[in-house]
Amino acid sequence: MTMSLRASALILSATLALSACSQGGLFGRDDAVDLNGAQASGAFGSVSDPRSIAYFNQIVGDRILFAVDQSTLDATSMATLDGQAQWLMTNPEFIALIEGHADEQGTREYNLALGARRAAAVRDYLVSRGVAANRLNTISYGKERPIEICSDESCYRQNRRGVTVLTVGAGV
Amino acid sequence: MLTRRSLICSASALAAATTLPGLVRAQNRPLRLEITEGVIEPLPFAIPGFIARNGAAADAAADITRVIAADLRGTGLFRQIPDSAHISTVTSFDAPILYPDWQAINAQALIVGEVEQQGGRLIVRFRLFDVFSQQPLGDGLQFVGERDGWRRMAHNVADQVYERITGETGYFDTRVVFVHEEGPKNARLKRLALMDYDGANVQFLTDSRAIVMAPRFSPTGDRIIYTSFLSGQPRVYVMDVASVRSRPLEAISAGNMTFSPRFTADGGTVVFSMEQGGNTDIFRVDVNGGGRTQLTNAPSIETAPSFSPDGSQMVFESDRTGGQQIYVMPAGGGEVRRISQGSGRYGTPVWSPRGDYIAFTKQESGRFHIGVMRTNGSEERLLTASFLDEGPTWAPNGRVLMFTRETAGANGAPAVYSVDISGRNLQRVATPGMASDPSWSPRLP
Amino acid sequence: MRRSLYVSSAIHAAILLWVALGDGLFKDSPDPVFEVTGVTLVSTAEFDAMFDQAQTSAPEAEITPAPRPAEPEPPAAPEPLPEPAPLPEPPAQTAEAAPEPAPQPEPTPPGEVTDTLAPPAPPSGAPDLPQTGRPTPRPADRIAPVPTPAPEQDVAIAPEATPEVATPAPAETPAPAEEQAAPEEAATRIVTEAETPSGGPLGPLASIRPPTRPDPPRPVETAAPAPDPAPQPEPPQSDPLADAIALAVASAVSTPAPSNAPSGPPLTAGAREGFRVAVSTCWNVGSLSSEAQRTTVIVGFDMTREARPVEGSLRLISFEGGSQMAAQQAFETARRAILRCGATGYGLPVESYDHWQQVELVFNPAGMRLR
Repeated sequence: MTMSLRASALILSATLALSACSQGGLFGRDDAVDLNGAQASGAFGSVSDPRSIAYFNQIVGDRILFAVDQSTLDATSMATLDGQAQWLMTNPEFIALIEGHADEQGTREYNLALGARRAAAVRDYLVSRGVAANRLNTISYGKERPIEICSDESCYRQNRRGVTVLTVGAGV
Repeated sequence: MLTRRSLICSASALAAATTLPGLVRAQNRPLRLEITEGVIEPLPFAIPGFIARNGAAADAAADITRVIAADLRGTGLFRQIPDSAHISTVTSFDAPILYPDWQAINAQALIVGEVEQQGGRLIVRFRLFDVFSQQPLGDGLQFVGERDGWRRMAHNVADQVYERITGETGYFDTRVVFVHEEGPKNARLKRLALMDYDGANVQFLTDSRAIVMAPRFSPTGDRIIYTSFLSGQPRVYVMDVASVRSRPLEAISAGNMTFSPRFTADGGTVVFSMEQGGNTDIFRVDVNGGGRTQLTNAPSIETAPSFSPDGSQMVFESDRTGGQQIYVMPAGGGEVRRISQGSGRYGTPVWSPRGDYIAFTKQESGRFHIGVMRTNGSEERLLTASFLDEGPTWAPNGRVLMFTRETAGANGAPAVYSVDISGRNLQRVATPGMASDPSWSPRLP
Repeated sequence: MRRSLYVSSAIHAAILLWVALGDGLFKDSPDPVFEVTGVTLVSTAEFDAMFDQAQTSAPEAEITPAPRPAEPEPPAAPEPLPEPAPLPEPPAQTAEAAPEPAPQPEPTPPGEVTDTLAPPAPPSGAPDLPQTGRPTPRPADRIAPVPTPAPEQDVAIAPEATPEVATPAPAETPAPAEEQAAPEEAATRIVTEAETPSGGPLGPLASIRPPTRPDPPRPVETAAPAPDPAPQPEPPQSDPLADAIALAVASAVSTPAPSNAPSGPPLTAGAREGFRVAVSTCWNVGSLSSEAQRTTVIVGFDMTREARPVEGSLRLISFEGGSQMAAQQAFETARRAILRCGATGYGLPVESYDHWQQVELVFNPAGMRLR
């Protein structure tokens, strides 16, 4: 009983993982790996190639920051997102997963909800700028995946973020 | 407490009380006084090493004595008188108690016991004595169980002692499900784990592939409900404790995050939060899936629901007015009223199993507190203060709380702490590593 | 691109392998058995019955196999006692022969998890005694009406400060030949972490309750040397107000009873107060259930001429505010207080014996809740 059920659970999740790869890694990702850190340029192309992920991440800017407890977009954020929308529309082979994050100054479950609200704010803005909604997905990590680990505002503000993570979509 | 005014009042009341009956019958009139001031201090107890009835039981006898004493000391309500201070030696379980010897060292409670091993089984017997009243407190009891189950037998003895002296239900024979954590702060590995309430007997329930958070026991202790990122999105799972098998609570469309699950009082349904398009509300669903109903409907974040033990009301947190605050509503829907009154933000409300209090996390001026308040929000009382405290869980008797405390900085680490609802006896629970999100089981069957 | 294809296929292969191996990778999963030991409860009566049976012959499945095998230890008594015999006349017990604790299995304190649950270090020799005259509440193991500073380390903590009840009666005040003992450190109320000034004497964060009653006869002598911040004037009735009240009460009390009056002078207010305080210092409401903490009990008892409670006379007269069970708990706690602090006598004037031969004490914990 146990064996067979567990085995099928394994197969199921493995299948999920595999299919996720073919779909661009939306849901099959390993959460244990920090995907928001500085990404090695190799896999993402060269920064000098404006159609590369590296270009998007570093030149366009893959993330925006939020004020404490807020999910509203300020002018700087909107400018960044305008650039993202532009880029996404000129590179239709990519799809994006928008991650919402919170700093550690909050309760765990509330921060999960807050991260979702932030991710949604980013998505909604990109959609309003013309990006097709079906190219955008969201996920919240709450306070589970800080990028900076000190316990000061300098770190907190980097952690209250919305990150647009690209993968090659429909094409493959 | 006794101000001058009240002294005057009581003095005159006393005068009146003594004169009036005096007119009726003076002789044999008892002297009547009112005692309103007392002390609150740990009650001193002595527990001479349990007698090993046979050689094979020697280790078990020593271990069991140690665990009983640790259980009682750990409550903060009892103080153990060291063996070195004992005058009397207990050499036989049935020997008469030399009360004066125990009175002399101010032992107010005396626990005497013996352990016998027969094959793979242990027999534990104990008696409890009220030293100053010179009489037994309750009956002598005997516990029979497997040799391996000695810890539970010790916890059962301690529960008995605790119950007889305090009148409160014991909570030593219980378990706690929690999240075991490893690794650096920006790449934490998390897995569900189970331990005895005192940190012993840790068992892992999941591996560390996916982030897991905020598990909760079902009211009968046979299931655990929790949130996992296993599928990529935060999602609610139900685990059968006996088989350690998990399944998603219900089928949800991709993109909808579900989290913050809790069982309702009868264990038949689960309330949880679901996020749709950035907005989070509270839903209720049958534990076997299906029959989903939406309980809140607001453009704000509604999460961390908790039901009253009688199932009639639900407390939850919401940021509908800006910051997180605590609200109560009837279980079937209806008027929502805010109960948190103070400044700061209030989250993670948890209804006491006794129904009398709601425990919560409070955040104010950069500090976190665990607190309790009456179910109407009155008598708020903060029990702890630190850089980051959150997520209280009640002991089944509603007298003790466990919660997560995380230290600050790059090397900050979470640990599980417990505190009495009076605010006394704050202590760290001995987990094998970093630990968070405890949830207390009911008393084991 | 090609590289990533390799990586991808390698990962896929690994996943498939992992699926194939299945359980092998789950070794650290727990044994799927939530162990429940069968634990049976047996009452004393049954317990003793079983013992008797075992002794006579009938082997009880649960306990000792058949006739007891040759006992390794000297049997204490031929017959197991239902309850250990009440003290005074210890039967020819071999038990007491060895006065020093030898054969006890010493509880070994290995680094087992439970050990870390030990209570926080006792507040002995606390170096940071508040220097001010007014004690700042700080966490203490003991909550008492009147704060007491932590004693010097080497002073034995007395169960309670032996109340030397100062009564006008010269009679038989127990000679204070008591061993030097300091009252245990106490705060006036529970101080939670949330109220504790972080890191030192920043002054009271919480308001201090006013000093309570006007200093009744106080526990004797603190062995605790020198600066004693707790207001503990020795002589009773240093307070004019209290004096006035005492007078008022005394006059009220001494209004002549018409007839059949008990002989002897009535108790003075000071003596009453002393008696009350003496019981208070032993009345520990800390271990009461919250329900019992809402229960007021009236306990009646008789006293000997030496002002000691007569043990068998203690009874619960009535209760209010809680269940029968809560009342029982509250009664037991009150009984402990009366017996414990009355062990050496309450020092009441014997010429007023008629007035205190019978006592009814009302234990009302309302004010002690959530202190």
